[in-house]
Amino acid sequence: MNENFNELEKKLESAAQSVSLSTSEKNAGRATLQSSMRATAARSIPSPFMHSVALWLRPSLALLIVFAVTGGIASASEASLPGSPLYPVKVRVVEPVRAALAFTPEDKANFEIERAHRRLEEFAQVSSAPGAVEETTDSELATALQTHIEDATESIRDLATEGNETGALETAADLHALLEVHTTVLDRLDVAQNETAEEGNDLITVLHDSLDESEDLATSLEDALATASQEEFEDAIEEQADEFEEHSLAVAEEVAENAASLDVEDGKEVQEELAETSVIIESAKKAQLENRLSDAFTLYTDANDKLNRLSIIVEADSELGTDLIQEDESTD
Amino acid sequence: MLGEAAFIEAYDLYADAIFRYCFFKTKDRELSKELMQETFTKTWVYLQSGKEVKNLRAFLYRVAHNTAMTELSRAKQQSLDLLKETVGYDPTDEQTVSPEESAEHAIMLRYVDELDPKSREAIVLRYMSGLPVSEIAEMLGESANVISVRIHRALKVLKEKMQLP
Repeated sequence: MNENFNELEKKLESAAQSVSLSTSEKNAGRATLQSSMRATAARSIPSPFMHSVALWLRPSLALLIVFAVTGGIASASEASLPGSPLYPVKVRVVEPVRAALAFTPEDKANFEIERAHRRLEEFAQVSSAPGAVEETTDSELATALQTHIEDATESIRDLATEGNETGALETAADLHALLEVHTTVLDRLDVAQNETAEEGNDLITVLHDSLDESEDLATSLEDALATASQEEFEDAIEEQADEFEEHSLAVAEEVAENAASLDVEDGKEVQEELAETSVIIESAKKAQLENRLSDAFTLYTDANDKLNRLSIIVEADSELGTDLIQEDESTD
Repeated sequence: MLGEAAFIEAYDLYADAIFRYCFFKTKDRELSKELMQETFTKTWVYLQSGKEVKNLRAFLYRVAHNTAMTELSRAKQQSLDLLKETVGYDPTDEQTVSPEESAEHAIMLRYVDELDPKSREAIVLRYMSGLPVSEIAEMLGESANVISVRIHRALKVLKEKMQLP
């Protein structure tokens, strides 16, 4: 590069050699790799049946299989809670079939996030009922929640490894927003019921630990975003803009459906949150116009997270019959 | 698609460099071995799914980067001080250099580690991994000119610290 640096360059290259694998380490690594390559080859023989099924048909196929196997019981089990006779159908039949038919890392991560959301909703509903949550219920939900979060995290990492950094970051942000808003809901349920923080509660421990980890995951993916190309950003922003439209409609419907349970103050808070979201979107559009694509992407992600949180909290406020919408609703 | 024999050849060619790259990210020899292994396994799985990789070496670095960053966020980065206290900064177990050279390597590596993250990455990729500037630029999404300037500035810093003429 520059003649003056010759000696330094040689020293750097020489120092690099001190960081190397020993012959035995390299051989062991090669053997392990060959072994996992053979295992992968054995696993990756595609199903001749699935090969002919178009991607867009696969979710429908999942539902069809679930319905064929369990009939109306499957749909009836969807609203069941721990302790109900239909609950095992929900978590041991319906969900595993849907999980098995999520083919891409993004689909897998999204479904595991949905499952985590379900366990957290179930816990909130059980907690809001009179009487303490049974220890076995708490323990089962905590274990399931941890598994869903770990599986979602693994799929998010796979997504990043495939080179889809923007998709990985969006999904990680969704996971973080979900855990954050449920932390808020459960904290407020405690306050509403005048209970002390449940130190011995397994699920709350998992939730708090996972919240920190999901934040670290999102931070690490933000760093990986530096390698994303302009095209990737453009595609991701387009998807985010579509998602925002859908979320906006969903929140509006949520608010309309639950209007009866929202008092005047709640309505005002929700409108303020929506107004803040609009401001973020305006900034995102401006950044997009100025070709600051990384900023635009981050702003769209923030706006969608805000809507996600708002949607969950409005729904929980209505379903749990507890006033969860408060002035500091945003937990940013 | 790349066959098994060709992929093993790629392993023999790049394993050390990928391990080194992971080491400069994690400062942990054992963890870096695992990350190197995971990098090759994930890449193989990716290739087996029928996807095409135009530049295998660049792809391996990208996978290694993502895998290491994820691991760091999970495990929390071990501090350099702690590393020095526990395992020392000389990660090789097949030393063929004199104690003086070994000490100089340790000092050099410490100075590299003290560089700002972007400069460190560029130096590691250029001199520790032997990548050409054009490939580093492609990998980091920067222009070759930006990378050249970054390397030049980092070399100046290192030269000063090493007190070289």
